[in-house]
Amino acid sequence: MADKITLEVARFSPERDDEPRFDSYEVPLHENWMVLDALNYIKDQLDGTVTFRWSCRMGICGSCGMVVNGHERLTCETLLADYLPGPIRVEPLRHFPVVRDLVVDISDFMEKLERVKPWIIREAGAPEPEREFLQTPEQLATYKQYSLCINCMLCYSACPVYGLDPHFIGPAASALSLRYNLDSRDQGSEQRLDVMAQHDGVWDCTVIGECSVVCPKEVDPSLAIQEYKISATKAWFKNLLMPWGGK
Amino acid sequence: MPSAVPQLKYYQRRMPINWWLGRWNYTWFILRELSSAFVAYWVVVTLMEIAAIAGGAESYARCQAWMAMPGVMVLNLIALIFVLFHTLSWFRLVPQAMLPRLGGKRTSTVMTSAPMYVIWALASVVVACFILGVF
Repeated sequence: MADKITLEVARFSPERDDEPRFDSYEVPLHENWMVLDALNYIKDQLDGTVTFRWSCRMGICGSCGMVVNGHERLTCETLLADYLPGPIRVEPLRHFPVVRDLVVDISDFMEKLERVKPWIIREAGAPEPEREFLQTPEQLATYKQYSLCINCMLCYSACPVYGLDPHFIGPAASALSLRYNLDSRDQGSEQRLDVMAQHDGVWDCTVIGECSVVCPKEVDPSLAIQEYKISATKAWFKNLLMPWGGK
Repeated sequence: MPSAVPQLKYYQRRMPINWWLGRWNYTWFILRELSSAFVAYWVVVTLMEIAAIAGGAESYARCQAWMAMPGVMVLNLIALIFVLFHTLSWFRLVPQAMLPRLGGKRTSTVMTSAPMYVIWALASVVVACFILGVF
């Protein structure tokens, strides 16, 4: 096995550059090193100006998502050795504005996430529970898959619909919205439907499915969006056909 | 009073026009959308044939002569390939779009897909028998 590998890192300095360029760095190739380890080596030993986000180094925080050789990856889970003989091209996530080097502006995602109210909503005036809500394993199973989302935004980077139409609510926000709708403790599905059933909600999705391919937690946001379409359609028919909207 | 925080300049990338060539899933999607045009063509041709049959023997003979033209045969062959692709791509898509639950658990991809292929095969056999005069 080679003892070094080259990383081509996208660089962008807003004070100086009009568009990104690539700088090459040769790093030691250790068998268990991830791409994030190589980036940290560059930052510590070769070029302290290289800028990127990271935190937990164990695929939990969702901070270190980048595009590695053209594919969205959590860099803390991506082995350098898988890309032998190199070089490895590291770029920021697609479709988001680049702030500096590998750091993107995530405020659009944060705004969308807040819009789908990813928290448990109880009806106004509902009495406070005297103890914790109980939930059966079956009730947990209905939403658990979608609760595994770590907001890494790889799905947004892989979604060409989001790239073409930035108003699209997007895969992760849809999956998290459905996660709370399916929770037996939640009573806020109608509030979320007001956002999700719009044209730039789930109906913008054209079922390309790449969001589910790149998801590091197997959340399957594409399935979540299609399930949302079914429930939105049911709600629309119920509203249309039933007296007083079935209320 | 001017803001103390300097205005940041971001770099906003644009989607290249050939974005759909970048990954197999993207190309598959574009081909799937394109195949809809051939499905529409197939429906129009079928309606034309029905109208020709309703128009009598002479009308049907004219339709057959048109269908036997080399250019139309090539077009129909391309349409057949795209219609088959359209069918298979949507069958492939169904488990990505819905995995019904049985007894509280999601059904597998095979369980969702298999009935569609079985019904398709049975329907094809029935149509083939009808055309070949078995019935």
